[in-house]
Amino acid sequence: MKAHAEFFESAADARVESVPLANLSVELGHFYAEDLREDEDFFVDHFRRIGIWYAAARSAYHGVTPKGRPRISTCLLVDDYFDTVEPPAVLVPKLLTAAHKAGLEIDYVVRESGCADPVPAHSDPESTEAGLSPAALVEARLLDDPPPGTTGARPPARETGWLCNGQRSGGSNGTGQEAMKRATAGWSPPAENAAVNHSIFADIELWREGPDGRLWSCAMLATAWQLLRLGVLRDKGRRVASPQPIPADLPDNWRALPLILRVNERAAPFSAYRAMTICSPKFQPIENAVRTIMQQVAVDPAVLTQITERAEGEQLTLPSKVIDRLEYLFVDTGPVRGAGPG
Amino acid sequence: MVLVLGEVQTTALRHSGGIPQGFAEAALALTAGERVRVSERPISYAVSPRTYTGVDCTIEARSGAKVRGVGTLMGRASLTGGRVLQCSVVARLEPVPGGHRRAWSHYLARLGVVETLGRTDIPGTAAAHLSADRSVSTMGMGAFCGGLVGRIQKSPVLDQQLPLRVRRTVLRWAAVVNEDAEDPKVLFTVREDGLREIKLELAAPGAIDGLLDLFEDLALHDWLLTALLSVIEQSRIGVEQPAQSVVRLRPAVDHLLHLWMPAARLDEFGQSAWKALESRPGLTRQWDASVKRIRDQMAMAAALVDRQPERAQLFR
Amino acid sequence: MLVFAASDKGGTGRSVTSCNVVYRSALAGSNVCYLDFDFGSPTAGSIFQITDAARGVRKGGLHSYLLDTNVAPTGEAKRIDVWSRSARASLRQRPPGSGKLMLFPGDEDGGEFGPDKEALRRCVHLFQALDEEFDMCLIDLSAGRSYATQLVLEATADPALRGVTARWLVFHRWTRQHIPAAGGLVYGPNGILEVGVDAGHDRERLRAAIKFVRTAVVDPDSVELSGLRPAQVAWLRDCDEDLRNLAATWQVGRSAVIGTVPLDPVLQWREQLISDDDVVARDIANSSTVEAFGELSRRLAVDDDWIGA
Repeated sequence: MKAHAEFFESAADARVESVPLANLSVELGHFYAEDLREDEDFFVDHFRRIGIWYAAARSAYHGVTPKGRPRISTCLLVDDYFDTVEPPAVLVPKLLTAAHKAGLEIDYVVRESGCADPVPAHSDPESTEAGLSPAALVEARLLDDPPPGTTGARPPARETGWLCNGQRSGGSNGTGQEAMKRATAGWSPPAENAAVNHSIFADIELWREGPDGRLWSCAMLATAWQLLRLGVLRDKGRRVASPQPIPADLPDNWRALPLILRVNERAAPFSAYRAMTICSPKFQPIENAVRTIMQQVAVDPAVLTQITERAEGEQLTLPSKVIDRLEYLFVDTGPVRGAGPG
Repeated sequence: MVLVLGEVQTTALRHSGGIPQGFAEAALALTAGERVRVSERPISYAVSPRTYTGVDCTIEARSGAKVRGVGTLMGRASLTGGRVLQCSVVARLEPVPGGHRRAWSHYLARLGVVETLGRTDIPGTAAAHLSADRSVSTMGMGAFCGGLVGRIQKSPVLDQQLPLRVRRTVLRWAAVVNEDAEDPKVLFTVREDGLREIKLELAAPGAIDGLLDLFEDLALHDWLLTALLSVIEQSRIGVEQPAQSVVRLRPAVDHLLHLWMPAARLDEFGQSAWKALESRPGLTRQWDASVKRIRDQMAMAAALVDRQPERAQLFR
Repeated sequence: MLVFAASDKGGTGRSVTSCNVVYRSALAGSNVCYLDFDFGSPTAGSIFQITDAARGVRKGGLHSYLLDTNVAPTGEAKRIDVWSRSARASLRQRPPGSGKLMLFPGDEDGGEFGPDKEALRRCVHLFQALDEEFDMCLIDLSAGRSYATQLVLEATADPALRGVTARWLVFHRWTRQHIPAAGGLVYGPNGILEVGVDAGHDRERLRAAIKFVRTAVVDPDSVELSGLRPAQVAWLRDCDEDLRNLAATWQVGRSAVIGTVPLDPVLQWREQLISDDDVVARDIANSSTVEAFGELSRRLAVDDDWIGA
């Protein structure tokens, strides 16, 4: 692995900016947009249930961090992209108070729409140079999982806005049918590329063109979110969206807020070597979709090398595959009421 | 033993003159969110971000032995002097035991590597790669490379006017990293059909960029020479009047002559490899002779310029 | 420049005329190539007298270049240098100052096929790469409303080829059946114009890029017919007049014509290249035939002849 890194990446690659990293980032639950309208008691109950598992995660990381106390940060993602939610001035204090009452501290609040909006290219707020949205950065780095028989001459067939983990059923990849030659009749099943005996085929919608332009799917935005947490996204080598302190007066409009809001001054860094999500099993299909996409994101090797070397400096071992740095706890987080868009 | 395979395709950019740096950056932006790196000295040069494609296919050794390869090919494009476009593809072959393909994320954690599942005949695979003609290529590397050329050539910033018509040249290379090897050995073969092969043996791998830079630089100068010879041939020296030949030689003067700068951007290893190639096949010697031939033709045409008929042809 | 050779019916002499036109262009110093897109029955190999590719090649021809779904990692399309590979001795001596003459053969077991995204992608790449190398690429298409025709119409509408001049030669015999057929192929339903506009071409610009070539034309005034009786000549003249009116009705009249190839026994009995030697030394072909080929190859490159419809 080491030799490989040397061969493909010059060790001191000045192209990529580095990002402060915690040991672990913990996401304290998911909510459907409808749930965000619930009262404080609903959230206190939610955070109490999450708190049990959060404590378990903390103690697990105490055991495996060689030097001192692990740096652990917590975060929440607010779904303001598909639905209108209460304004930040109402919702943020409600969430913070509820978490506090449940004995938890939220360090960062992130708005989901921020994963779809262009991020200013510099952390310098004066700069007007527009960068790409985190979702667009993920899309640019998608590298399709090739079905057997794929060469550089015939790249994997792409269906616009979709990504799958194998071959779709029955000749949908536009293969030419020769005239005067019998068509091969019948249905051919889809196939997962790395199937063990049987296939679990997944076809994920990434985006769709709507009347107001491109509408990213929840799975795609969540992938960008997870990759932001792992600190592996860069725009032309620059870090994407550094956390900004919470303003004294919260605006009425979520989109007036920076992508990542630091609500706790003493918080460990937002991005981390590893990320854990604690949420209801109801969100498992979304996370499955996220993992199908993330399996096919080719993270810049220079970024990977940079993070690996820093982990080694802290005597930490990191899985070489980015997807293996994600952990989940699917637990009962209380009554989840909504059935928002998936 | 480690084997690195690659191919470089070289052609004239579809643009009437040298393009400005900003256009070069736009044309070479293969991946959103990635930088095009540019430099101006000693010659204007821009290189695209890396781009990748996944493969899962059969790799055949010269003996006909087959092995399944899974992984990614790495590609990049560069532009020299705002005029010569080069696309490169490279993959490092790494035999792994066991016959099963792994989860795709495994291969994405080692971009540019193709793992061969099972016993792999490394010298035989290198030989098959180098000896193939232009209609086939290992793992479709040639088609991937050609696809990159096509993608850049259709960039809307290019005016689509070709400065000269020359066939794309293909340089196939194989670098065998063998710890027991002594001094690096390099063998350059010119085959017909604009096909070149280079076999390199070295003890320790340097950075991949160093190798790519070397092979692209060789391919660039081989292409310049090929293009120059082709322009000279089409100028019909000796068949046409000198003034007429000089008119036909003009693309060489406008677009080629100032680009010859062997090993200008190479590291020490690259420069020593160039030096070894200068004794045989001696690219610079042939280039100098050809340039002299063009200058002689121009001098002769200039000497004849006072004679009315030639003058009319030259300045029409 | 890309030149597409099309015809509605078989037997128009499309392939043999096209081969002779590229041959004349090469003799005049241009670098030219001939692409056999007549997938059902590739014949260019036999016209150029390439012994082992008379009916296409066994492996790696254009058909498989465009369509190979097999994993065979294809690279470039196979090419044959006519100057060095023709079985005809007079061709193998490439005259000084002449240009490249390259054949891209079809496959022996090729066939027609339906729309294919991948084939289109490869076709665009092929044209783009060949245009970088050749002054003229002549693409010989299957007769009729073939998929080959649709494919190249879509390919030439691709932004990758926006700077590349594309011209069309539609071949037809000078007969009552062939004239309406040729007009229909261009202007009729599912014709070149309609399919081209669907593919994204501008109707008027495409129309201006299409010209007709009349083949096997009998000239009532030619010396060859000097032995005919006056009544026969008069009858021929009437027929010719009749055909001219018909051509005008079908919009394939004089202004849309770029070349006329006279009836020549050599072409009727054996489809082959006509060398100067065949005319001068062997006296088997007519000089007017060679002149017609030369004229067609010259006019293809004259931009003024391609302005307006």
